[in-house]
Amino acid sequence: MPEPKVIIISSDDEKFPVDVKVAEKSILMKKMIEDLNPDGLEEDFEIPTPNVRSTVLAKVIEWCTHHKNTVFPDDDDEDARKSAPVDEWDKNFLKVDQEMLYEIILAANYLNIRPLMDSGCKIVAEMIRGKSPEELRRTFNIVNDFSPEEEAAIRRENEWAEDR
Amino acid sequence: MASLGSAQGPVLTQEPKNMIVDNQSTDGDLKDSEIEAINLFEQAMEKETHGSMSDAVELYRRAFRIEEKVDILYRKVKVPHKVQQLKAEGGKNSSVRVDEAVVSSLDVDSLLQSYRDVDALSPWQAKQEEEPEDSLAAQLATASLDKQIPGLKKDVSVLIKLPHDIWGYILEILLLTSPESWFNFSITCKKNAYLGFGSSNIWRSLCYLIYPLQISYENQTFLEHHRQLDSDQELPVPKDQLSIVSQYDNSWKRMLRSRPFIKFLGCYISVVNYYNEGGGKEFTISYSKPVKSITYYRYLRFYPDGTCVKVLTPLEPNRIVPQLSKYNTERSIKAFAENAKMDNHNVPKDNFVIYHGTWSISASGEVFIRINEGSVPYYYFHYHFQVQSIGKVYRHAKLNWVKNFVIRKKTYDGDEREGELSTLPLKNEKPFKFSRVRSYKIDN
Repeated sequence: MPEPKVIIISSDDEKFPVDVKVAEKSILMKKMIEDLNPDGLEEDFEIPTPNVRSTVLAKVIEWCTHHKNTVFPDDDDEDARKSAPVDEWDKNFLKVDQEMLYEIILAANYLNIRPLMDSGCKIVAEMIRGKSPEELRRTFNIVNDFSPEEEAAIRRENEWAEDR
Repeated sequence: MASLGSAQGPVLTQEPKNMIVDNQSTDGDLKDSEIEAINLFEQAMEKETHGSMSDAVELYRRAFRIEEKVDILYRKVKVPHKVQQLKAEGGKNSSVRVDEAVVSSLDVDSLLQSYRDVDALSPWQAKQEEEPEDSLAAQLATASLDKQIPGLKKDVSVLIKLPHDIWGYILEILLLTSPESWFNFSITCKKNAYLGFGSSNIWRSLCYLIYPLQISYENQTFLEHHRQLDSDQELPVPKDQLSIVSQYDNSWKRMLRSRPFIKFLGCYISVVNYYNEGGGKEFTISYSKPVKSITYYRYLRFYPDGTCVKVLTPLEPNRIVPQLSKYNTERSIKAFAENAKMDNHNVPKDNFVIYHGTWSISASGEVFIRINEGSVPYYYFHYHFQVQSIGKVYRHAKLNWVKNFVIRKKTYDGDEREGELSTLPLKNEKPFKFSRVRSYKIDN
């Protein structure tokens, strides 16, 4: 008999059968599998993900499959994790439009896939790094809604803190 | 004659961009002589900001000799370009004159909290809010425009709609890896200001990035007297920041604002500038005596392991800053071709030496530096400073002199002068100001 699969179901009812090892990259799914199958998987196990669309879920599963054997460092050193550069493969994988990046980050957050969430957030940080406020407004298509006085006061009170 | 937008603190990159004489706004209609005069004028302003007064005066003089209205010309030709550049980087509010009274009456904390539920607006949404399309004609006009130019009604980037806690995480990544990007993003609009400045998590992260790296004077003294620390015995300044924040009404932001600290991602520079009156020629009938202007710089850079480096030199920051490191194995500033020339004159070698010392800071912001191997072999050098803010805005960005003294080392057995303290005059000394240096990491 073939090994039982985890079947992840997207919000639009598409079914993605994957190995347990792949599904377990998501801490949420790992917990569900363990809690509901204390003796290990004996048959296929379905997990619905009602807020993840199939196109996004396919991407997330692609990531989990690629990283199924990757050992990620523990959560102990938050600062080291935050300042580590983005994995090269992840960087290419996340070369997607803003809409898709947004949905991947949300899905990684919901499914509790910390390393994917990290990479996604770092890509957003990368979009911000080194840009002037006006360039950032163009990047995110937002307007400056401060009055000159508000902006001056906020600047004055906070700007110094970028020096440390 | 400071440059425009001088509210900005000094920021040093390895190649200060304002050093490059910027010609691209050319100036097709200008005569060569006018361009030359403007260039000299700009160089003079640059020297003036660095405090090299005599060089500045000389350059101004040359500029005015070529073109007697160079100042007016400069304003006409360069200033509009600079204003435009400022706007291109900072947005609509830069270079707008603000009402000082209004600015200082604003309570920034409650302002930020009031942005909590404000949504970011895209340019077309903002336009709509400004002038609601009440007329049918206007509506029709936009409707037809929409069909023609679909990109026109582009919404705010969906990324801006990520949940607050995820943005908090992204901002913490920036705080750690590129602090100015954290600021630049947070100043883009009200919503982002709430995310970047309004949450106490950000300020807590900053406190944890700063205070655990400080070398506490009180703890050092305490440990000298209690070699063995009982496990339940608290240090005078606890390592656990949580037990300190209560002294600041449990506000991390308040702690950061009021609790002095040493900054590592840059260096402290003191520009000393004074005039020496020389003697006039013998039997001269002139009342004026020749005056010599003297400019030199003191540089200090601190490390979180308790060490620091010091250089005293006539060389300007862009020459020194890139080489100012305790890992500079030469322990000296590499001489440039020009300096080599100076070297043959009477500039002592001492001007290029990087001296290594140790430092600590007290809870009230007194900084103590000690250099064991200084320029005089039989002295320990001691500098004593007080951390202060520049104009209430740039917090903890200045080191004011308190005392400059030397203590005599033991030079031979039974040396009676050992421990003798001599205080050095502070008359010409100037405070140190912090300059961020982008290439500096915490420890490189």
